[in-house]
Amino acid sequence: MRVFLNKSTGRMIESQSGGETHPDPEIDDEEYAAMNLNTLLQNAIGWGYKAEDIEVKFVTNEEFAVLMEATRLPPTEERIYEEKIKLRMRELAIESLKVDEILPVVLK
Amino acid sequence: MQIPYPPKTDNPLLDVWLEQLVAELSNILATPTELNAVTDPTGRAQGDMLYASAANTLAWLAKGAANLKLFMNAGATVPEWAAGIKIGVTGYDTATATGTQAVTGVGFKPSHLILFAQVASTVEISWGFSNGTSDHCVLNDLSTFFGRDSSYCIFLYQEPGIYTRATISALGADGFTISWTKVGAKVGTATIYYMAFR
Repeated sequence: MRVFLNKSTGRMIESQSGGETHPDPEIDDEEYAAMNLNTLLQNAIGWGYKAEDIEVKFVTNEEFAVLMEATRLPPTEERIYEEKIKLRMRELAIESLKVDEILPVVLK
Repeated sequence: MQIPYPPKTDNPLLDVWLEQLVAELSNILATPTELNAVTDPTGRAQGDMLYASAANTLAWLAKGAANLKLFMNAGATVPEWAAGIKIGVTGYDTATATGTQAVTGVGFKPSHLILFAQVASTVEISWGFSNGTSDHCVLNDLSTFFGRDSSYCIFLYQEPGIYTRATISALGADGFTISWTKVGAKVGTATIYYMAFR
């Protein structure tokens, strides 16, 4: 995996798989990998980051898993409750549907 | 192949005509000989194919590995064997302002994409397709039923008025460009699984 990290926060802003080797044997893998890292750098610059404030690199799957875990939204009680409410609202809406209301929608 | 010239006669005009005739015949005979050298299948493997590597030039294309498909190369000049399909993943902080994300490392120029997108620890999810000009998806838009959209191939709906959505704005030699539009105070890191078809 290739990742783009914000140096000041350590947060992973973007990641991409592949890009280390090219299926065409005539393409130099080292140059190809560098080019693909540059993709992340150019994306970052396009999003307003300064080159000196970010780090782009290849990471192992294990390293990536750690970085990815850190990007999860904080599993606070409030957040979990919010997501549960969203799901429950959908369930309630579906449960409240009456056959004569849903049939025209289904048959449309 | 050069045909030996006949002995001179007493007729100079006839000699000139004969020389021209011999030269023409030599040319005609030479062409098939060279062609045979190229088309001679001796030493070729089962599955190898003849193709024109340039105008008026024949060459052999070695057979491809099992289950590879035959494509025209990127320059649209000669055929080549390739898988032409790739599964990959990209992650994206949806708090990022509206902008583009170049995704590379695909290994070929995709023609179509299937995209599954999700934000961890949320119910935000979408399933979409794109060919670089048409984008479609179905999504969890928190309505009674799942929603659908025929303008975007990724649509991550956080709550009313807060979402990010995307189209595929370009298909490049080694990947594609996602054009993101962020609305409201969107947060969360999206994981986008893609399947790219050459």
